[in-house]
Amino acid sequence: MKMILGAVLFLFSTQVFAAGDAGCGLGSVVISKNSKGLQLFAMTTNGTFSSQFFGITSGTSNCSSSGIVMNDKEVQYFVEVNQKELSREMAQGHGQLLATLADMKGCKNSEAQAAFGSFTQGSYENIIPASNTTAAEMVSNLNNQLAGQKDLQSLCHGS
Amino acid sequence: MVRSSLVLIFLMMAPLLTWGFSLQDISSFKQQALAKNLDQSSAWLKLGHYRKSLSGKYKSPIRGEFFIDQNGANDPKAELLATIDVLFDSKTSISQCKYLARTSWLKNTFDIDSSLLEKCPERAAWKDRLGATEAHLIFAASDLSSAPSSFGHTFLRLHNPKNTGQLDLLDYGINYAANTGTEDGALYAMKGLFGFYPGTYSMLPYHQKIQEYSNLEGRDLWEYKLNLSPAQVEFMIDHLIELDKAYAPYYFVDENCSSQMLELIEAASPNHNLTDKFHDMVIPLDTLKVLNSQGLLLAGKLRTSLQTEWRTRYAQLNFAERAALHSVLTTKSDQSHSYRALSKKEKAETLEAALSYLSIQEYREGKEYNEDKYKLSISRAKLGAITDPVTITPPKSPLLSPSTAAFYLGYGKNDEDDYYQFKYRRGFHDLLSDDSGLAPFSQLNFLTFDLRYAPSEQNWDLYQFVFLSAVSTSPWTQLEKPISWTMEVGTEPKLNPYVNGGVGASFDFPLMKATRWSLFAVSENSFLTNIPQPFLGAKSMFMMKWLDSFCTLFQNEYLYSTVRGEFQWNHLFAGSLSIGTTELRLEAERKDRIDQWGISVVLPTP
Repeated sequence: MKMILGAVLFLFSTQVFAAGDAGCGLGSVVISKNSKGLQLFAMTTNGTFSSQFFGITSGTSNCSSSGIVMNDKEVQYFVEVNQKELSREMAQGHGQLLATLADMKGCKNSEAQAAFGSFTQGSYENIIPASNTTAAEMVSNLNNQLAGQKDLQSLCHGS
Repeated sequence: MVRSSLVLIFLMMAPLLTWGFSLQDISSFKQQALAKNLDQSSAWLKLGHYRKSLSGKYKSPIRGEFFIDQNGANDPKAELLATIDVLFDSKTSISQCKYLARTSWLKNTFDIDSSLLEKCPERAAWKDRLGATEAHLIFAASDLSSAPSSFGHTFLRLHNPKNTGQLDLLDYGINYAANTGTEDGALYAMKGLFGFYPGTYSMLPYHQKIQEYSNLEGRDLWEYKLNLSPAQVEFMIDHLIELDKAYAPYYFVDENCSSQMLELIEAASPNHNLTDKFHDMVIPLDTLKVLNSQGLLLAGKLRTSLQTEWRTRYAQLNFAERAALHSVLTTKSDQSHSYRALSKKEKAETLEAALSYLSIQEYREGKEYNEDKYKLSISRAKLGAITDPVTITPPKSPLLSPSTAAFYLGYGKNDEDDYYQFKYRRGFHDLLSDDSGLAPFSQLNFLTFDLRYAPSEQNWDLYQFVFLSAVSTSPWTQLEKPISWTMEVGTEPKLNPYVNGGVGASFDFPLMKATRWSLFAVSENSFLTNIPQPFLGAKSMFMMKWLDSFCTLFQNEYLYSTVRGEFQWNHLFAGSLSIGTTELRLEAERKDRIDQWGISVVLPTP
């Protein structure tokens, strides 16, 4: 059926981590097979078995508190959730998630976002050196690569 | 109330006592509330999610930590008095900070000075971080290959104005859903129909929410900005905070995601009556139309799913690219001859399509293709920036889809006898309906009553009752072989129950606007309570969309009666022309050597 099982597994990591190394601990998204026949009965609902819920009292991951992602962890959280699709968009050099990532990195207009896309494509193997590169490694590689991109930096006004 | 802890609370609160009202104030508030009949005001009833039952009494389905008075769920007046009592008494264990929406409503109603109210710095800081000033209603449209998904789903996006441009993905999604645990299948369906699951609100970053709908289920998302002021949006969020730790039994049919969204919007904007437009079932698509008709929907925007992206990519590939794509996907490498023969740009397009397809397969099969995808991604990255983003022609807006409930008025002849037809469809759409915003070449009908008057016999008769009828078709391509299926449960003639079903395959042809041919192996079983008459056989459906407003269906069945031991042919031709929101239908059928034809007008229910 249509369930993302354990949509968010908040792993209460006890380690003290330096900026940018540990991830948000969102856990992996387990997807059960879509059985089209039975979808008939799942027309208006989706199920989750996590009961971290709304607002103030909801769970906390390494990157969010009370259900809201911390400002300095936005990029990490975003990459962790969308890692698969982002990797694909970086390979082709454009895409919606990639444009959002570019925007988060300060590239505000479409020209700067396109340049950011081409840069991730050109540095693909430096940003994602292996098929099992973690989201946290991906973010730190991206930052390292970005540091050397003077033209892109000026297009995107710092960041 | 937990009296034992009152003392403790009082001690903790004592130094903070900067607010609170005298007993006199409180009783004056209560008198005013009673004098003004505030407990019957729509704002209060909507804050408690009260609904009038048939007996004229108000009841609220909300359970968990929500009502203050013991009988609050059934007594709006007692709940209002208890609220005034407790919220304005500084020595209570219940804080105004839990009931922000009620408090702000009472503040405005009694014109209370803010400085006299409890300060809620933690809540205020949280709301600041959320920073939402706009709400958008998100409608998850049909998965094109699944008729049942036409039902749709709605949720909200709370927009923070700092998330400009591409950053709107960083907004927060508010969803109301049944907590079904890991259950699946028929038990899940039954439990969901009868309210065994608790429905609760949840909040997730919007990009994370999208993963669920747009990727997992291949549904496009339509986003409509709601016509609510920032103050109304804040009130809605306050009310959501009130609902934290509360739940309501979730009924798939009427107390579902969409009815809750309407209740939220009503609480924020009590002058709008949205929920009373629905009596028996709440179809998400219908809620969208009601909101639109009341001027609550502003600009709409489409966010396409991975599935739509993949279909568009595949459709745009030329013949050589498709052959190469096939070899790339079967060998999971870019070494084949057919691939190497392509130009650089064609190679890039082929690899992008392959990656797009593998992404979907991961979601569909719950498998990982990390290694394969990584190899192909590196090859694609090396080809450089030579492709443009896929341009997707937006499908027609769901707001344009035909009315889900409709009347059919018709005249026809059944084996020489005239009849007048009066048919009512509670939902949703049939094969010949205009398919804007719906899965094309699909049918999802429930609760259809077909009454006929025969002048020769001068009587009305129930010709057919359909409880549920679904046709779900999805075309085969070189890469995908999805199952098409049909299912129908009802009674015909009169109250003789029948169950029909079939499975098969569908094929698309590039004729006219769109053409699909579906073949099914079918089993038809009528007169189930009497002497069952099982038939087995094959059914062919040739569906053609000539124009956006005109489509036809040729249907042939070859059935073997296991009782009589003989074969029979059934043929049906039907055509439908849409003019605005009405449709003209023509149907001619030969069933077991009996001819029947009819014309009808399909009118949306007012």
